[in-house]
Amino acid sequence: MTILAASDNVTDLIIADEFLEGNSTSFFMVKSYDSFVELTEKALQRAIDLLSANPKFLQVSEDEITNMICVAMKMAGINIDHDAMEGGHADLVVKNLRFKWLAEAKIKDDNYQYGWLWDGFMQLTERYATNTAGTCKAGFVVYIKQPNSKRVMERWQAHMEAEKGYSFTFSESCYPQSFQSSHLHTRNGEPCEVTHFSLSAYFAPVV
Amino acid sequence: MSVKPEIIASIQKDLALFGLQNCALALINFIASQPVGQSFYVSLSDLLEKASDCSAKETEQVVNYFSSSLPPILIRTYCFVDAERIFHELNNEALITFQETKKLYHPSSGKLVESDEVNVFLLYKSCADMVISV
Repeated sequence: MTILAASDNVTDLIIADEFLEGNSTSFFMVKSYDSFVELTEKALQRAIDLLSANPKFLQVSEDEITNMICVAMKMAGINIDHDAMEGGHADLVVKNLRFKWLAEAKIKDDNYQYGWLWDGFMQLTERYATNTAGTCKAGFVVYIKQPNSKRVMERWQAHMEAEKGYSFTFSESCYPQSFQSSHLHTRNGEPCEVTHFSLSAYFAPVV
Repeated sequence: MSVKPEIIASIQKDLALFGLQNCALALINFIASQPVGQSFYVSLSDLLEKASDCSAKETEQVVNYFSSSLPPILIRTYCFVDAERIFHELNNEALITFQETKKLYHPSSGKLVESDEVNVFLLYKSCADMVISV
């Protein structure tokens, strides 16, 4: 017979006005879009922190790093798919009962320049993200396989600013070595807000 | 009967890095030991007991992983459990109605459930067939 302990009873959690961080039911049921995005971004940053602590495991392909992030977020109770079909194959697709959040991830190393990141950003914002209500925020993750990840993120922001045809507003983000961009979405002219995360995957031990 | 090799492979690929492969295998072996062809509900409390060598945190992480894998091995369901301990799955629409109105309508009869009888449990549905190769 199935054990039904008090901890398995989620009645109060479902109807609570507040959400409980790190709880899969709370994440699935959260009613506010901003809270949904906040929970998702915090889980993503925790996954980044976990992985960047072991950069030797990150000497793999872009897709394999994305899979590791996806697994870490799943373990934390986030309903996430890797490479799901969303107007194309968005790298990370997070859903709960009401909302959806997409993210694209790109490697930045000596072979891939900032134009490569821009292509990924365009894929995310122009192709995958429809920017309709409940989907106007997204994420962009840069896997940095070069030293000085802070400088890379600064240069990435400068590259975006120099792109013709787009007008970005930038702001600080609460996550380390990250920033937020906002621009008017081509499709509907509404603001499209993207948080740009950095994952330092640089590994070149001297001894 | 043995566990599907693709499940073993994905556990090795995804969970070994996080040191969770033993916990994952304990849960898979539990699911594989259930009667073939019969789906069943299991709670997190059940699974904590089945993986008693693992910490509660590890087990919860693995359960979360299996309920998000494709295809899912543990299908996350929210069930109204009535006085006879019969499980009635709530669909997304019923969950939203309950959350917004705090009123629960019986999934079968459609009648309003008395507030002191409302009990919604997070349960996972699974079946041995999901994990074994026959």
